[in-house]
Parts: sequence; C-alpha cells; structure tokens
Amino acid sequence: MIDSILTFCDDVLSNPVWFYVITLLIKLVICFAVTILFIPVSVYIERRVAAWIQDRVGPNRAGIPLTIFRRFGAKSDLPFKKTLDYFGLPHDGKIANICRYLRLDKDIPIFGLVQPMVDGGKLFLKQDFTPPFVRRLYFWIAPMLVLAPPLMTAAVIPFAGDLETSYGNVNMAVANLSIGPLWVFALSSLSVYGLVLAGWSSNSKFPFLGGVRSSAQMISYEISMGLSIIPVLMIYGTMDLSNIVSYQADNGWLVLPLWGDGLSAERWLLMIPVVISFIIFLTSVFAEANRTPFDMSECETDLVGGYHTEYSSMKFAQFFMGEYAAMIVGSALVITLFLGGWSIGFGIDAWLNENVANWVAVLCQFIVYVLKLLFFAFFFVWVRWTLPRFRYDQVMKLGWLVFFELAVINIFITAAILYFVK
Amino acid sequence: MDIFASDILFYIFGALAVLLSLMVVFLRNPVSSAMMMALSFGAVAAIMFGLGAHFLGILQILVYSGAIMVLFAFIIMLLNVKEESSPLKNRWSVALGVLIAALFIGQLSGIVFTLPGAGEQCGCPLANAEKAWDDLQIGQTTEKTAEKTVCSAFGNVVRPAIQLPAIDPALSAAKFDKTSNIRKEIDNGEFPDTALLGNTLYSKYNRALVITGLALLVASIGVVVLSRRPSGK
Repeated sequence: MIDSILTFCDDVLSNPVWFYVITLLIKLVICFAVTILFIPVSVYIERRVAAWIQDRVGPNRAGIPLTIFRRFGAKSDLPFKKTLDYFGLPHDGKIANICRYLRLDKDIPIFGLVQPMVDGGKLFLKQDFTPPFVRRLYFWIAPMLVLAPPLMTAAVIPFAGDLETSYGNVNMAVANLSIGPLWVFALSSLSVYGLVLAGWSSNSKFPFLGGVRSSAQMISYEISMGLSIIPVLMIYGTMDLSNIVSYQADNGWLVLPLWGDGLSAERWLLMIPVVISFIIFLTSVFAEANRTPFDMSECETDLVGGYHTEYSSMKFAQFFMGEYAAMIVGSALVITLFLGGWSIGFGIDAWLNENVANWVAVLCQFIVYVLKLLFFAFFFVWVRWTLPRFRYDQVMKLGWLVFFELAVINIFITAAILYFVK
Repeated sequence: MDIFASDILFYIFGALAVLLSLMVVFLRNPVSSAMMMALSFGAVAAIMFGLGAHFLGILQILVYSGAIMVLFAFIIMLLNVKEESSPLKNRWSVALGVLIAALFIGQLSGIVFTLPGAGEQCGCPLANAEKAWDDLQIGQTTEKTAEKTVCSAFGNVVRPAIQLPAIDPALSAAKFDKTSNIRKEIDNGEFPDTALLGNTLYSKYNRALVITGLALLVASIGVVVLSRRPSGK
C-alpha cells in the first residue's frame, strides 16, 4: 500500500509539468504565508518597539486571564490563589514564587500575542457600515485594490537559493520573471487606484482630499524610485532578481562589498552612486507605503482620517493591511537589490554549499531572509519615532526638486564610472 | 490537433481587450470609462506576456495603466465631470469619427494581411511568435527550421512552417557578441526580450529615440513655463 503510494508520488514528480505545478503551489503557499503573517507580526513589532522607544509599558500586555480558572476554585480569593488551590499547590511555595517572579500571577502573557489576535477578531466582527451617500461599487472595490497589488508583487522576490531535488532544481521565487523589479513597480503603481477611488467614491470632502494627497505623493515618489534603481541595474547588467541575489552572494552585497569580487577598486568607486541610490530608494519605499514621515494620506490632524474616513470594519482594516504589505514588499525589494536578498554573506554561502546538505543551506538562507525582513520591520518603526512628519509642500519639494534630479545625475555618474574604470 | 493553453489565453484576452474597449465608449460614467480603459490596457499587456514580450507587457501596465490612466482618473475626479447626458447630435462630427476609424482600420488591416504567415490557416499569432523564437536559436540549421511544424490551433493537418523573412540562425548567432547579455540569455534558453529591445532601440533607431526624448524634454519644459505664474504679479 505505502509502496504503491510512494511509486505514484515518484511517477508524478518525475513528470516535469507536474513537478513544476506542485513545487509552484508549495512556493505560492510559503510566499503568501510569509507576506500575510508578516502583516500582524509587523503590527506587533510596531507596538512593542513604539512602547520601547517611548519608554512606556505600551499595549500588547493582554494575556490569557487566570479568571478562567475561577470555576475550579473557591469564590472568596484572588484568581492566582484559586488556581494554586485548584492544582493543590501551597500559596507561598517554590512554584508560586517562580510564577510571581515571572509575573504569571495575573494572567498568562504569551508575549502579548493575545492582543493582535483579538484585534483581528474585532475587525472581522465589527459592523460593516456603508454610508448611504457613497458610490457603492467603487467604494467596495477600493480596499481590494489597495491590498491585492502588494500581495501579488511578492511573487517575483526569491526567498532562498535554488533547492536541488532528485527531480530537478527548484527556483525559490514563485515567478522567476526576467523583469523582476519592473513587475513590482508596475503592480504597486496600480494600488494608487485604490486610494483615488476610495477618496472619490466616499463622496465627501475630507476623504477626497486625503485620496488626492496620497495619490499625488505616490505618483511623485514612483518616479524617483524608478530612476534610482537604474544605476543598480546598470551595475548588475540584468533584471533577473534570482541572478542579482546569487551575484551578491558570490561577490559581496551591493552596499557591503567585502568578499569575492567586491574587493575590487571599481566596486568601491561604485559605492558613491550605490549609496545615493540606496538612500533615494529607501526613502521612496517609505513614501510609497505611506509610512511616517510621509503619512500624508492619514494625517489625522489635517484630514479627519484620510481617504478611509467613511470605511469601517474589515474594509477599513484592508487599507492598513495593504499599507503593511506594501511596506513588507518594499523592504523585501530593498533587501534583494542592495542587501543581498537571501544570502548570508561574508562567504558563508559558498562554505554552506560545499559543507552541508543543500536543503540545510536553503533553510538557513530562508531564515536569514526572514531575519532581514524582521530587521526592516523594526527599522520602519525606528524611523517613525525618530523623524517628525513632513509638511505636504516639503514632501513634494523633496520628491521633485531633490530626489528626481539626484537620481538622474546618479545615472550619469554610474555610467561614467562603468565606462572609464574597467 | 495541438491546443496550447497560451493559445486559449490569447483568444480570451483578445476578446476581453475588445470588449473592455467597447465599454470605454459605451459606459456613461467617465470614471467607469477610465477604469475600463485601464483594464483593457491590462488585457493587452497579458497578450504581450503570452507572446514572450515580458518587458513590453510590463511597460504597458507601468506606463499606461499605472501612470497615464491614473492621471486621467485623477483629472476626471478633480474636475468632477458629471455623467454624459446626451449623445452627439452633430452629424458632421459623427461622420468625421467614422472616417478616422475607417482610415485606421484600413491601415491596420494592411499591416495584418502582410504579416508573415497571414495567408496560412494556422492563424494563431502565438505560433508566429514561437517560430520567430525558434529562428533565434543558435545551432539550428536553416533546413531544419523550414521543416519544423508549427502549432495549429485549428485544423489537425500538419502544415509546413510559416515563411518568415529569412533570419539565418547562424547569422543571428554571429550578430551578437559571445560576451553580450543577449547571447548569454539565448544560450541559457531564455528569450532575451528586454536586451533585444534595447539593442534595437539604441542601434537601429538610436537617432529617432534621441529626437523623441528631446521633444518630450522640450514639451515638459514648455508645460512648466506655461503653468508657472508670472513672478511680477
């Protein structure tokens, strides 16, 4: 029985088409799960780090309350003592003291993870109210248009090196397109529709202003984002993200060329345009994701609430899920282009390939990729509590008068270096 | 009879593009029209993807759906254009529109019927694209290419290949330097659409490209100058 199942699996996997389809589905699930799971994780990180930076206890302290043990014990005493009674433990014994030391005497905290879970449940269960004056069709489509593009863009980003199986190599990007970065730009430019339509279909003034502001901002920063990446693509000579990452694994990350060919004088000279590109690109990612200091679209003091004022329940939450997803995909692109993607760096990749099994190396690379993403989730919050929000005219000035020109000049600098220093 | 998924997708997206374009004209709400236009650009991009021109397809989405149509929608919403109430009543403008459309269709059909393989019954355009891709492959002899059968979506008769303007594989191999990206990608079995497009643009059409770029630059400077308020006011 088991043998026949194994033979069947073997037969199916030996067929290249079935092998491709099955591996594709698995990759799709992993990629989607990482992106979706990172949304609550980055919300959690945001709250924790915010509390830490502001030196306050912060939210996310909710745990599983000990009062659920009430029915087991006497009614007269505190929940902690009742629980101890229930398990037959002395009130000031060793276990009780350890529990008190770990602050388990009120509830079971599990890192405050109960809070985001209950938060999500709340958003699902709240009343979904559609105001009578909205343009209904576009009002419903808009949140989907904000959330869907970032989730789709994650498909082209490789999250580990090639996995070698006995049936063939598996490339660890869901869609290994030869035009990776352009795919991300094209789809993320579509999420502007969501903001514009949300503002317009709400049919009231402040959401409309919010929509106009945020879409103007996104269009402006798309330009500097696209231009800032051209020097990087000139250096790599390819737009294939898998090739870009494996080049960085062998020859040093783009902003950290410390091994392989990265030690050449040319690469160090190229650091000038690369650093300029890195700064412009990173800032544009902040602006594209509508994060502080660029959160013009949800700047409550100016605009009641922004383009989402009329929204409630899960539709409201979708806008913020879209924002967090854009932030995650943006940081994944920064990591892939400048910080070596899944590569561990410092020559460890080559060492791993020689010394351990391939699947171990792939697993390590995946873990490193997730760690880099986690660092960026922290970085976004760090910047949020470090820099104050820009004024709207400052945002526009920075985009059009500083970044745009700088990115264009940067292209010429890179071309000159690549042409003359060889 | 071979039917490929890409052929079926071609017809689906082709039909969608036509349907959505018709809706752009027939829908009364300007915002809906703009959204339909963005969607029809998406359908055209999907056809380009099917033809292997990933770069062109993504540019279609990036430039048209992502930038130009957003500006259109933006302006429509800002000006708060109301629904168009009455259809055009002026007979002359209708006649002019029909004339322009007829001219356009005439030119388009002129191009379509002179395309390589237009007379063949194997009518799927994707077959032509695959043929062109085969011609690029290195190490293939000319005779072999000529004999190679092409997919036929309709009709189970195996037909001789479409006669494309002769691209000698040996020539096309020699055309690109061994160290060039195009050659490398072809050797890897990929279709180097981005590199080929860049190569054509910057060698064959270099002068036209530069002139177009300068014209756009002049136009954008002109817009800035015209829209700027006089400082003396």
